[in-house]
Amino acid sequence: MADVKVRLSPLEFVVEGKEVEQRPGYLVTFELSAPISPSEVAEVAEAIAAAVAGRAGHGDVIVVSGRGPIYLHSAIAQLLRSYVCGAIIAHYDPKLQAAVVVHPASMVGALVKNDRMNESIQ
Amino acid sequence: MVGKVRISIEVEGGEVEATRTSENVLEFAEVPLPSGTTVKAKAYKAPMGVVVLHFNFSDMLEPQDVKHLEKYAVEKYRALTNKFGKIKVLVISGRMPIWAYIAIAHAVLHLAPAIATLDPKLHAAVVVASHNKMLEEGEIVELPQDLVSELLS
Repeated sequence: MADVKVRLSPLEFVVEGKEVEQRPGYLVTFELSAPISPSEVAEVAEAIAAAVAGRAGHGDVIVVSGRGPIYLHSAIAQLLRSYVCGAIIAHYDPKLQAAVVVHPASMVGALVKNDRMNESIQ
Repeated sequence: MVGKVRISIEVEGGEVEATRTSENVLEFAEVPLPSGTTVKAKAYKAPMGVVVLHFNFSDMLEPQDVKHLEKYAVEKYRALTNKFGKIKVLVISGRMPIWAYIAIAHAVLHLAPAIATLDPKLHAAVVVASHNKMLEEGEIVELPQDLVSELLS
Protein backbone atom coordinates (compact mmCIF):
# COMPACT_ATOMS: atom_id res chain seq x y z
CA MET A 1 0.00 0.00 0.00
CA ALA A 2 1.39 3.38 -0.97
CA ASP A 3 1.56 5.94 1.84
CA VAL A 4 0.12 9.30 0.95
CA LYS A 5 1.33 12.59 2.37
CA VAL A 6 -1.14 15.46 1.95
CA ARG A 7 -0.22 19.10 2.45
CA LEU A 8 -2.81 21.87 2.61
CA SER A 9 -1.67 25.46 2.04
CA PRO A 10 -4.20 28.25 2.50
CA LEU A 11 -3.74 30.75 -0.34
CA GLU A 12 -5.51 33.61 -2.06
CA PHE A 13 -6.01 32.70 -5.70
CA VAL A 14 -6.72 34.75 -8.80
CA VAL A 15 -9.45 33.08 -10.85
CA GLU A 16 -9.54 34.14 -14.49
CA GLY A 17 -13.00 33.14 -15.70
CA LYS A 18 -15.61 35.38 -17.29
CA GLU A 19 -14.41 37.89 -14.70
CA VAL A 20 -11.10 38.06 -12.90
CA GLU A 21 -11.62 37.65 -9.18
CA GLN A 22 -9.69 36.87 -6.03
CA ARG A 23 -10.83 33.94 -3.95
CA PRO A 24 -9.48 32.21 -0.87
CA GLY A 25 -8.81 28.51 -0.87
CA TYR A 26 -6.32 25.72 -0.47
CA LEU A 27 -3.53 24.27 -2.49
CA VAL A 28 -3.72 20.51 -1.86
CA THR A 29 -0.50 18.75 -2.74
CA PHE A 30 -0.11 15.02 -2.34
CA GLU A 31 2.90 12.76 -2.49
CA LEU A 32 2.80 9.00 -2.83
CA SER A 33 5.55 6.89 -1.27
CA ALA A 34 5.23 4.29 -4.02
CA PRO A 35 3.35 3.88 -7.29
CA ILE A 36 -0.33 3.42 -6.58
CA SER A 37 -2.33 0.43 -7.78
CA PRO A 38 -5.98 0.68 -8.87
CA SER A 39 -7.14 -1.24 -5.79
CA GLU A 40 -5.80 1.58 -3.61
CA VAL A 41 -7.36 4.46 -5.51
CA ALA A 42 -10.61 4.71 -3.55
CA GLU A 43 -8.79 4.79 -0.21
CA VAL A 44 -6.13 7.28 -1.31
CA ALA A 45 -8.64 9.59 -3.02
CA GLU A 46 -10.83 9.49 0.07
CA ALA A 47 -7.90 10.37 2.35
CA ILE A 48 -7.08 13.40 0.20
CA ALA A 49 -10.69 14.60 -0.11
CA ALA A 50 -11.32 14.08 3.60
CA ALA A 51 -8.26 16.19 4.46
CA VAL A 52 -9.84 19.14 2.64
CA ALA A 53 -13.42 18.61 3.83
CA GLY A 54 -14.26 20.73 6.86
CA ARG A 55 -11.59 23.28 5.97
CA ALA A 56 -12.60 24.53 2.53
CA GLY A 57 -16.15 25.73 2.06
CA HIS A 58 -18.62 27.10 -0.47
CA GLY A 59 -16.96 29.41 -2.99
CA ASP A 60 -13.42 28.46 -1.94
CA VAL A 61 -10.89 27.35 -4.50
CA ILE A 62 -9.29 23.92 -4.15
CA VAL A 63 -6.26 23.32 -6.33
CA VAL A 64 -5.09 19.72 -6.51
CA SER A 65 -1.51 18.90 -7.41
CA GLY A 66 0.49 15.70 -7.18
CA ARG A 67 2.23 13.02 -9.17
CA GLY A 68 -0.20 10.23 -9.80
CA PRO A 69 -2.08 8.51 -12.60
CA ILE A 70 -5.04 10.11 -14.34
CA TYR A 71 -7.38 7.67 -12.64
CA LEU A 72 -6.29 8.93 -9.21
CA HIS A 73 -6.76 12.60 -10.14
CA SER A 74 -10.17 11.79 -11.62
CA ALA A 75 -11.24 9.92 -8.49
CA ILE A 76 -10.07 12.81 -6.25
CA ALA A 77 -12.04 15.31 -8.33
CA GLN A 78 -15.19 13.18 -8.16
CA LEU A 79 -14.94 12.87 -4.38
CA LEU A 80 -14.13 16.54 -3.77
CA ARG A 81 -17.34 17.51 -5.55
CA SER A 82 -19.39 15.70 -2.94
CA TYR A 83 -17.14 16.38 0.07
CA VAL A 84 -16.89 20.15 -0.39
CA CYS A 85 -20.18 21.47 -1.77
CA GLY A 86 -19.95 24.65 -3.80
CA ALA A 87 -16.16 24.70 -3.98
CA ILE A 88 -14.28 25.57 -7.15
CA ILE A 89 -12.09 22.59 -7.97
CA ALA A 90 -9.04 22.97 -10.18
CA HIS A 91 -6.11 20.75 -11.13
CA TYR A 92 -2.60 22.10 -11.47
CA ASP A 93 -0.96 21.95 -14.88
CA PRO A 94 2.83 22.43 -14.75
CA LYS A 95 2.96 23.37 -18.43
CA LEU A 96 0.55 26.26 -17.85
CA GLN A 97 2.04 27.18 -14.45
CA ALA A 98 -1.60 27.49 -13.38
CA ALA A 99 -4.53 25.30 -12.45
CA VAL A 100 -7.58 24.70 -14.64
CA VAL A 101 -11.08 24.63 -13.14
CA VAL A 102 -12.94 21.32 -13.61
CA HIS A 103 -15.93 22.16 -11.38
CA PRO A 104 -18.48 23.83 -11.26
CA ALA A 105 -19.72 23.54 -14.84
CA SER A 106 -20.16 27.30 -15.17
CA MET A 107 -16.44 27.86 -14.53
CA VAL A 108 -14.89 24.90 -16.33
CA GLY A 109 -11.73 25.95 -18.18
CA ALA A 110 -11.05 29.05 -16.05
CA LEU A 111 -7.43 29.54 -14.98
CA VAL A 112 -6.40 29.71 -11.33
CA LYS A 113 -3.14 31.46 -10.56
CA ASN A 114 -0.95 32.22 -7.58
CA ASP A 115 2.80 32.83 -7.61
CA ARG A 116 3.32 31.10 -4.28
CA MET A 117 1.51 28.05 -5.64
CA ASN A 118 4.07 27.76 -8.46
CA GLU A 119 6.99 28.14 -6.05
CA SER A 120 5.50 25.67 -3.61
CA ILE A 121 4.94 23.03 -6.31
CA GLN A 122 8.40 23.39 -7.81
CA MET B 1 -2.69 -5.85 -6.26
CA VAL B 2 -5.68 -5.48 -8.54
CA GLY B 3 -9.29 -4.42 -8.04
CA LYS B 4 -11.90 -6.73 -6.54
CA VAL B 5 -13.64 -7.28 -9.85
CA ARG B 6 -11.81 -7.71 -13.11
CA ILE B 7 -13.73 -7.39 -16.31
CA SER B 8 -11.83 -9.78 -18.47
CA ILE B 9 -12.57 -10.54 -22.05
CA GLU B 10 -12.09 -14.22 -22.43
CA VAL B 11 -13.66 -17.10 -24.30
CA GLU B 12 -12.80 -20.76 -24.34
CA GLY B 13 -9.40 -21.11 -25.86
CA GLY B 14 -7.97 -17.83 -24.70
CA GLU B 15 -8.29 -14.09 -24.93
CA VAL B 16 -10.41 -12.52 -27.58
CA GLU B 17 -8.56 -10.68 -30.28
CA ALA B 18 -10.18 -7.39 -31.04
CA THR B 19 -11.83 -7.64 -34.39
CA ARG B 20 -12.51 -4.15 -35.57
CA THR B 21 -15.07 -3.95 -38.29
CA SER B 22 -17.38 -1.13 -39.21
CA GLU B 23 -19.83 -2.76 -36.84
CA ASN B 24 -17.74 -2.01 -33.76
CA VAL B 25 -15.88 1.15 -34.74
CA LEU B 26 -17.37 4.61 -35.06
CA GLU B 27 -15.35 7.53 -36.41
CA PHE B 28 -16.45 11.09 -35.94
CA ALA B 29 -15.72 14.16 -38.04
CA GLU B 30 -12.96 16.55 -37.09
CA VAL B 31 -14.25 19.60 -35.21
CA PRO B 32 -12.38 22.86 -34.52
CA LEU B 33 -12.00 24.11 -30.95
CA PRO B 34 -11.68 27.78 -29.85
CA SER B 35 -7.86 27.66 -29.59
CA GLY B 36 -7.54 26.55 -33.20
CA THR B 37 -6.72 22.94 -32.41
CA THR B 38 -9.09 20.33 -33.77
CA VAL B 39 -10.56 17.24 -32.13
CA LYS B 40 -11.46 13.99 -33.82
CA ALA B 41 -12.88 11.14 -31.81
CA LYS B 42 -13.04 7.48 -32.63
CA ALA B 43 -15.00 4.90 -30.68
CA TYR B 44 -14.39 1.19 -30.34
CA LYS B 45 -16.88 -1.29 -29.03
CA ALA B 46 -15.19 -3.91 -26.86
CA PRO B 47 -16.97 -6.94 -25.42
CA MET B 48 -18.95 -6.87 -22.14
CA GLY B 49 -20.63 -3.51 -22.84
CA VAL B 50 -17.32 -1.63 -22.76
CA VAL B 51 -16.89 1.23 -25.23
CA VAL B 52 -13.67 3.20 -25.68
CA LEU B 53 -13.97 6.83 -26.76
CA HIS B 54 -10.56 7.94 -28.01
CA PHE B 55 -9.75 11.62 -28.61
CA ASN B 56 -7.16 12.87 -31.09
CA PHE B 57 -6.06 16.48 -31.15
CA SER B 58 -4.20 18.29 -33.92
CA ASP B 59 -2.34 20.42 -31.39
CA MET B 60 -2.09 21.07 -27.66
CA LEU B 61 -5.40 21.52 -25.93
CA GLU B 62 -5.95 24.89 -24.21
CA PRO B 63 -8.16 25.54 -21.15
CA GLN B 64 -10.56 27.58 -23.30
CA ASP B 65 -11.32 24.43 -25.32
CA VAL B 66 -12.51 22.31 -22.45
CA LYS B 67 -16.16 23.47 -22.32
CA HIS B 68 -16.53 22.73 -26.02
CA LEU B 69 -14.86 19.40 -25.49
CA GLU B 70 -17.39 18.50 -22.80
CA LYS B 71 -20.28 19.24 -25.19
CA TYR B 72 -18.53 17.29 -27.93
CA ALA B 73 -18.12 14.28 -25.61
CA VAL B 74 -21.78 14.34 -24.58
CA GLU B 75 -22.91 14.47 -28.23
CA LYS B 76 -20.61 11.62 -29.14
CA TYR B 77 -21.79 9.53 -26.19
CA ARG B 78 -25.37 9.82 -27.51
CA ALA B 79 -24.19 8.74 -30.96
CA LEU B 80 -22.41 5.77 -29.38
CA THR B 81 -25.52 4.51 -27.64
CA ASN B 82 -27.44 4.83 -30.91
CA LYS B 83 -24.82 2.76 -32.71
CA PHE B 84 -23.72 0.26 -30.04
CA GLY B 85 -26.72 0.06 -27.72
CA LYS B 86 -26.44 0.04 -23.95
CA ILE B 87 -23.01 0.93 -22.61
CA LYS B 88 -21.84 -0.46 -19.24
CA VAL B 89 -18.48 1.26 -19.06
CA LEU B 90 -17.22 4.18 -21.12
CA VAL B 91 -13.42 4.28 -21.32
CA ILE B 92 -11.90 7.69 -22.06
CA SER B 93 -8.61 7.67 -23.90
CA GLY B 94 -6.29 10.10 -25.64
CA ARG B 95 -3.29 12.38 -25.12
CA MET B 96 -4.66 15.31 -23.16
CA PRO B 97 -4.10 17.06 -19.85
CA ILE B 98 -5.51 15.66 -16.60
CA TRP B 99 -8.00 18.53 -16.32
CA ALA B 100 -9.46 17.62 -19.72
CA TYR B 101 -9.89 13.98 -18.65
CA ILE B 102 -11.66 15.08 -15.47
CA ALA B 103 -13.96 17.51 -17.27
CA ILE B 104 -14.94 14.93 -19.89
CA ALA B 105 -15.50 12.24 -17.26
CA HIS B 106 -17.78 14.52 -15.29
CA ALA B 107 -19.71 15.65 -18.38
CA VAL B 108 -20.60 12.11 -19.45
CA LEU B 109 -21.04 10.64 -15.97
CA HIS B 110 -24.72 11.57 -15.85
CA LEU B 111 -25.21 9.54 -19.04
CA ALA B 112 -22.91 6.56 -18.55
CA PRO B 113 -23.24 3.97 -15.76
CA ALA B 114 -19.47 3.98 -15.22
CA ILE B 115 -16.46 5.89 -16.50
CA ALA B 116 -12.93 4.53 -16.76
CA THR B 117 -9.70 6.04 -18.03
CA LEU B 118 -7.06 4.20 -20.00
CA ASP B 119 -3.83 3.77 -18.06
CA PRO B 120 -0.75 3.37 -20.28
CA LYS B 121 1.26 1.59 -17.59
CA LEU B 122 -1.43 -0.99 -16.83
CA HIS B 123 -2.43 -1.45 -20.48
CA ALA B 124 -5.98 -1.48 -19.14
CA ALA B 125 -8.59 1.02 -18.01
CA VAL B 126 -9.45 1.90 -14.41
CA VAL B 127 -12.94 2.88 -13.23
CA VAL B 128 -12.89 6.45 -11.88
CA ALA B 129 -16.61 7.02 -11.28
CA SER B 130 -19.58 4.71 -11.25
CA HIS B 131 -23.31 4.58 -10.57
CA ASN B 132 -23.11 0.79 -10.62
CA LYS B 133 -22.55 -0.79 -7.21
CA MET B 134 -21.07 -3.87 -8.89
CA LEU B 135 -18.36 -1.77 -10.48
CA GLU B 136 -16.51 0.40 -8.01
CA GLU B 137 -13.84 3.03 -8.43
CA GLY B 138 -10.42 1.47 -8.88
CA GLU B 139 -11.64 -1.64 -10.62
CA ILE B 140 -9.71 -2.70 -13.69
CA VAL B 141 -11.39 -2.97 -17.08
CA GLU B 142 -9.32 -5.22 -19.29
CA LEU B 143 -9.27 -4.42 -22.99
CA PRO B 144 -8.03 -6.39 -25.99
CA GLN B 145 -4.28 -5.76 -26.08
CA ASP B 146 -4.13 -4.98 -29.78
CA LEU B 147 -6.71 -2.26 -29.21
CA VAL B 148 -4.70 -0.85 -26.29
CA SER B 149 -1.56 -0.81 -28.45
CA GLU B 150 -3.44 1.06 -31.15
CA LEU B 151 -4.80 3.59 -28.65
CA LEU B 152 -1.37 4.22 -27.16
CA SER B 153 0.49 4.46 -30.46
